[in-house]
Amino acid sequence: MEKELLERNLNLNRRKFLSKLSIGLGSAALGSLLIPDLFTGFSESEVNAPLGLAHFAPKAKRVIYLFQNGAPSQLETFDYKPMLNKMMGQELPASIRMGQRLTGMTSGQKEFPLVGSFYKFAQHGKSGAWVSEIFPYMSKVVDDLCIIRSMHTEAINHDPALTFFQTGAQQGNRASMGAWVSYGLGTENKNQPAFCVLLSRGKGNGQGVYSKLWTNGFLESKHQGVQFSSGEHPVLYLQDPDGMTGSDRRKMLDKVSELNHLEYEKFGDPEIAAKIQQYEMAYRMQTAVPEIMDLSKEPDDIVKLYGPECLVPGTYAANCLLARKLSENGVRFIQLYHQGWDQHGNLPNEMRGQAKDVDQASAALITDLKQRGLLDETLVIWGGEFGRTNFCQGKMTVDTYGRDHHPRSFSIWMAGGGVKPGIVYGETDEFGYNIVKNPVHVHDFQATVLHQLGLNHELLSYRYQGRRFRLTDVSGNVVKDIIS
Amino acid sequence: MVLLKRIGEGLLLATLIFLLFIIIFENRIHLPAWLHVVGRMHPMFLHFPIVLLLIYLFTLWLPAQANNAWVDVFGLTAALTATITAIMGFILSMEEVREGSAFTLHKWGGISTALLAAAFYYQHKHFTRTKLIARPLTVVTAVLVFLTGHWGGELTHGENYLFEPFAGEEQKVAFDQAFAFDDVIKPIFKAKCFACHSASNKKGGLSLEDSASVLEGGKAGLLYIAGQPDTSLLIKRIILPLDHKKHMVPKSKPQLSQEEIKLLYAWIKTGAPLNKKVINLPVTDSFRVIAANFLSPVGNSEPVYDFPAGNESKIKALNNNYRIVVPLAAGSSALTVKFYGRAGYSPKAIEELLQLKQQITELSAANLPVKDEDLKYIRQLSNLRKLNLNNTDVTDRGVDQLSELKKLQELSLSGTKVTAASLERVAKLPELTSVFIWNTKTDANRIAYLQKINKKLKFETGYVGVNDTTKYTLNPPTIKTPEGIFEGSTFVEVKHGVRGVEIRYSLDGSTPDSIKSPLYRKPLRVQSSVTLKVKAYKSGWRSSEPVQAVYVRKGLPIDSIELSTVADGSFNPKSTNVLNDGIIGKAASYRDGKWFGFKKNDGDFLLQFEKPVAVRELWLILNSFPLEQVFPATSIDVWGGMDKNKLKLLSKSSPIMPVGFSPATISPTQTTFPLTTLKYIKVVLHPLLKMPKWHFAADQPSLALLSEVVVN
Repeated sequence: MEKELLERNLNLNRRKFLSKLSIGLGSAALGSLLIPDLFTGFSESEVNAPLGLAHFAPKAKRVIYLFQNGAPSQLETFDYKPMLNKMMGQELPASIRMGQRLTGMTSGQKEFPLVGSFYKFAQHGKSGAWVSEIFPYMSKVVDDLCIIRSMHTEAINHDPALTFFQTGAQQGNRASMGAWVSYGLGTENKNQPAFCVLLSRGKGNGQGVYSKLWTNGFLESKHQGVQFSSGEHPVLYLQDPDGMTGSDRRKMLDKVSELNHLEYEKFGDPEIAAKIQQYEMAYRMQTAVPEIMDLSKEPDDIVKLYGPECLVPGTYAANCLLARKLSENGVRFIQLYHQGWDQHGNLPNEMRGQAKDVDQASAALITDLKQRGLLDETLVIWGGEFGRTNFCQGKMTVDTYGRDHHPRSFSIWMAGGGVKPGIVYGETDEFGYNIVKNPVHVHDFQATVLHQLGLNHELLSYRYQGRRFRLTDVSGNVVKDIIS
Repeated sequence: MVLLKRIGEGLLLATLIFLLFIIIFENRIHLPAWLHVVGRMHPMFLHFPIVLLLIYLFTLWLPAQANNAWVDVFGLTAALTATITAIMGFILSMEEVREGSAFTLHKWGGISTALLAAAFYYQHKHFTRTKLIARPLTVVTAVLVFLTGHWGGELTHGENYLFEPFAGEEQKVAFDQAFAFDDVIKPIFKAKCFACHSASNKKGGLSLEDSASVLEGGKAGLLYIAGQPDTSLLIKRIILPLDHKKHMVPKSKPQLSQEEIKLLYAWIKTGAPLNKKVINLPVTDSFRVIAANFLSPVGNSEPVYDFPAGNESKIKALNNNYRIVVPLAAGSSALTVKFYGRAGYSPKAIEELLQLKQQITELSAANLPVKDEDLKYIRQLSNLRKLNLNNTDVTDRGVDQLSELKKLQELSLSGTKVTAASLERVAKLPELTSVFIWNTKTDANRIAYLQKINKKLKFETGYVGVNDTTKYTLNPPTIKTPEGIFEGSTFVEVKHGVRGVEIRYSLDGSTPDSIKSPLYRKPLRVQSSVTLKVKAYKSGWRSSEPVQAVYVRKGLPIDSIELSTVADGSFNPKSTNVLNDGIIGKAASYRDGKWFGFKKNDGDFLLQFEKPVAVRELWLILNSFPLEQVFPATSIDVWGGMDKNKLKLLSKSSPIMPVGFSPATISPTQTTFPLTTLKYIKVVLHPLLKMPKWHFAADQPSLALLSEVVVN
């Protein structure tokens, strides 16, 4: 009993205790009338929504988010705008721009000549969705995709836009989407972290990724994304040091655990219990990870499906294959970043290369999940952090052009995980500049992803610095129209 | 007091007679308008008799001496108000047509209450003496008062008004399963109209509770004319101005929303379908379109499970590091089970699940050595909906057992040995919708035939690589044993991730080929210094790029190494011992303090042995990393002799130079010479002073890096 009490007390950390104390007893009494949970330590919503379980029956159990870092142009991929080709070189009408702010890169520009895609578009699949010629493989699986052409965001530069997409706020230090999912649903496989991150880099103009994009923010550190690589040592510091055998490691862990248990008996600090578990999980990961990395169980077809690059560690294709394997092994949220989509100039050349990097493997992931019966429980997302302008950045020549950042409209796609397959949602005007139908804000997108995982985005909250935080902050609506 | 009592008794008698009169002549009397006002006071007045009567009944439980004259007054007033209330109720019921069970019960309950109250009053003296009869009767009367009040409440507030809070939220029906009346129209009626128009309370003779009575209509006529919403009574009443007497829903009650009105209008317009599924209407039908918003999206309905939740401690006990048993969602009785990792799997792990055989709806044991016999446990999971046996050892014999899983909807058998034969039997499962058979030996023609005769079942065969004739390049093998310096002998292990790959190797630094080079079968035992080069081959594939690793056998101990020239500032370790410590620096991260670097001048080392040694071979471990302008030395001169001032040139060699931007590699260079006994060796390293033309920094000096010197 004494230990339980001690445990309880240690759970209230010092700062929390002091901040409560400083209010004084008088206001504490008043507060308990206003906020019934002040003394129970739990908020009403926390009681109603137990952690580690979906709030309602989920459609998707896992997410694979293929983030196209740098923002691929929607006008060269999924948002077909023949009008831009017709009006090539003409000035963007002010009535369309409506005072949209510009980045420092085009704010000095005197003219905003419209520019249409150099790539050809065609309709594909039963859904007849328009897809650019740079995605021959994705066009084949278009009937499994839900293409959203009406995404919009608030940020106009990479870092805030990425941070906004991943954490729901532009400034950073909030928990990222994967961390929220880990917090809300816990790990599915006790031998794997719930949230993994895989990085790759294309040849196009790139933008960095930072660990703050997979941070746990204010949540417990166990919810942080674990970076995997597809090479010899997928998880850093996991393998035993030279000269240490598995049994040595076991012996050492047993002894450490004994000491930790002694300490735990004495102080009852739950952090110690957590530490013991973390050590044990890392030990189990030592056998679980090589099992996942083992390609020998994969038939040759898989390599053909993903393309030969999937055998080269660190490529997007290898990461897609790894993502499928991790997902199959119960990793809840797998975040890929493929860098190099920031085409301010030389767009027609660079985008082709970028597309080649990701096209086959992205489509392969859909096919692969589908043939294993996993697509219906895995939500796959493909997209960048914002769109690109319909006018040319810099000098327009006969054989090349560039596009600047555009937050008002862009395209992403989702597949599986209970999202309607074979539909195109939302619409932009004929200039591809403003949304005219069914806009989807980043918070709406986040709310929808959580909804598919069986989480109510309004209930999934964490109290920190005196207020409750949510991934969707104070907004976000589930986009019901795209859910099957 | 006595006078008052007399008057009261007279009044009671009169009202009782009047009550009996209107009961008998209910249908034959016509009431003047002012009496309607009295009738409408019924809902207000009824509270008096309830309270008075209950207090009066309570007094009968008090001891006799507590009884006094006031008790009588109470009894009289209670009986009088009860009778008046009953009369008022009668008048009210005559004003508007009322039918239904709740109404009838309320009516006769009210009359009985009034009569019982009067009986109590008249028999009071008698009752006070025989409490044995009186007391149980008070209970009966009190219950009747409550029931009558409750039935009355149902009339004004709607059916089941009292217990509604217990009912919980209504489950929305999925779009694809919804019937036009039962799932779309009826819920609207239920929410807004049932209060007055249900089977138990037919105001105006109208019940909206079932399709038959909706067709019947009420006293005012038919409810609607199919296809003509504008002339239908239902719509007409709804769109009357709010203040109009006949506006429906009455002003005082919660109104229909615009959406609901639109839906009712569209329903009649499309012909007021009753037992038709919404999804069977044309896609453009406005009723179908609007109804979609009222219904939950297709398949989004949470499945309903009719079994009780499993024992929580049992669920907890079944969870371990390799087996996860969790509810589908908070509060769900359905369990999903997943196995992870071969380490934790045994048939027993499945057998133990039988403790919760009723609750398990999803099970995944993919990528585990599940055998046919283990399925005898799985087949007992009677509520299983989803089963994933991808890449397990099951065969037809096992799958045949699954035909007992009547609720099964999804079955994943990709990567197993099943054939079309067992699938034919499984296909008969009533609920089954998808079977995943990618990467199996199933006969495509038979599957195509099965698919043809089972329209509702989808066989997912996935991607078949045979159709893809592109030849892909294999990735290089992985050399597991880190390269470097070894003592005595060592084993070198090589691996390749792709199944059926042949690894061929050479030990002399030449590129292996598919014919002459030896095949790698097991770890190679290496006893002397070698340069291992490996390549992967597989039929139908292009061979991989070669990869190499160097293993240098530890040589003679060198007593001292002296550097006579100046090393590059950044690559000048504190001691020359690093050149003979048996550790090779890292090729890519060469700023690890293990390398001596030379850029502008030669590297000139003097190796000294205290006792004369016989030497014939020298290894220099160099680095090659063209991208970072690191090249092996152009040439190496080795001098030797017994006297450090009289050294003789033993050999001159040129390391292999990279011809392009190859990745960072350790580049060991061997120099041999006739066996010489010596005490001193001088090594001179000449860095490449002009980088080749293909380099972006052509003609500039390169950096030569030396990590280790091995003398044999």
